[in-house]
Amino acid sequence: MSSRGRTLAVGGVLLAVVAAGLLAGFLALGNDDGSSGSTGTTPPNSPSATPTDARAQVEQAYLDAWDVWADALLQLDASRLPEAFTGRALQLITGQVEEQSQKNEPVQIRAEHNYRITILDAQTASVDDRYINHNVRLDPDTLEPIEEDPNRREHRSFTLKLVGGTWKIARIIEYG
Amino acid sequence: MEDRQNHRVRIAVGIVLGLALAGPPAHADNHEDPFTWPTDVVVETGTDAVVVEADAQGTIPGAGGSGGGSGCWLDPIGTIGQIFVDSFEEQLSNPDLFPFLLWCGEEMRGLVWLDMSAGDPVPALDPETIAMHIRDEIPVPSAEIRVNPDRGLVGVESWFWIEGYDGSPIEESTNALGQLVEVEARVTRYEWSFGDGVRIEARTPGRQYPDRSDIRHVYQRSSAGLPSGYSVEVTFAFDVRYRVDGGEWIELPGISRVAETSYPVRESQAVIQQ
Repeated sequence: MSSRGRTLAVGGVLLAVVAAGLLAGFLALGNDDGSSGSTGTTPPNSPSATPTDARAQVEQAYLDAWDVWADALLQLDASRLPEAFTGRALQLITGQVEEQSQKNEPVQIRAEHNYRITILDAQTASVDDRYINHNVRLDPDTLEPIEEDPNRREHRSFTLKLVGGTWKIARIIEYG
Repeated sequence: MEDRQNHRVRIAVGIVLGLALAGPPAHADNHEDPFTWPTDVVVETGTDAVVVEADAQGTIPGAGGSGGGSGCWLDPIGTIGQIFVDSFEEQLSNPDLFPFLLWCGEEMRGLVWLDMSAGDPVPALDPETIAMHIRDEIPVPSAEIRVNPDRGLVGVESWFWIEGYDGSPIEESTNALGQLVEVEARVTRYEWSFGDGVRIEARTPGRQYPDRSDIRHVYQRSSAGLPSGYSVEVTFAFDVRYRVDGGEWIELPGISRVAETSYPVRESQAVIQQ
């Protein structure tokens, strides 16, 4: 093999190694689909990842519900709440959003999660979350916070039910 | 630990209807409190007691009705199908946390983790306590007070009876704690108050018109001045008993429930014509 040929061969091997490394890196990132219980409010950006087990579905539904709640309180629009909530929880949260809407007081929702997921049966799951609450009420015109970040630990237990193939928050239990 | 797992948990139950009616909690109105999730169930854990406050509304779809009961209790879980602990904090990996199912009526509302490190914060729950919870939730019988004539007349006998309830025993039960606790309330007497100060006691719900009811009263004055007429009440006095897993019946303190209606009474005056 000529010197030029060896150079090309070595370069090709190095290129393949780099490409394989990049591919492995992407795959590793793709597998990190929120299995950690310590996350921000926003779920990881893996829209193509479809959870195949109940635990992953519950986790994604739980984090999605936070987003739906956050959007509703920021936009002061309760129309999307049924996508993520059902039963008594839907009633309570709809009432909460409507009350904020009447006061024209949007809220920015942000939390640092720390949860455990329990599958109770095929249709029922529980997420016990000791999150740090960073929610703040906003000025409706500037959308600037009108209060300080509470930065306070909260403890809630969320009961999710499988309704029509979708996990939704049905009950919220507060620890006093 | 086994003892703890076998414990039945007693909780004090408060009904916070205001939460249910008002929707979001009061702190949503107060900017001094952080904005957070609205809830209808609060579990207060102390050193020697667990208190659950829950509203009486709503059920989880697919979980069945509440059965008319709003009493709540915690049921320790021996085994859970799958638990996924996602925690990097010592707090959540605490081995002293034990799971309990929270039941309200016949609805399982969710899972509660209690810290048992300081000892069992909840005394054992005995069947009598469960039965008392059920007893306290027994509703007023679905019955109406009926009267003939529809509008009373001074000096004329009015016949009263109860429609929609024949005096049959009211039965409630739960098996949420792994044992069947049945409660039976049997009406023993009906205490009538006719709104004009007269009271009588009866053993039957009366007889429907056109039969002559044994619940009869003659008003001496009209109800003029009372917007809806006399307030007629009947108090159902129940003897209550319970049994566990089909065993012997055990008496509980009795209860009473009240139904009421309004009854206008007019006065008819004779007119002498020549």
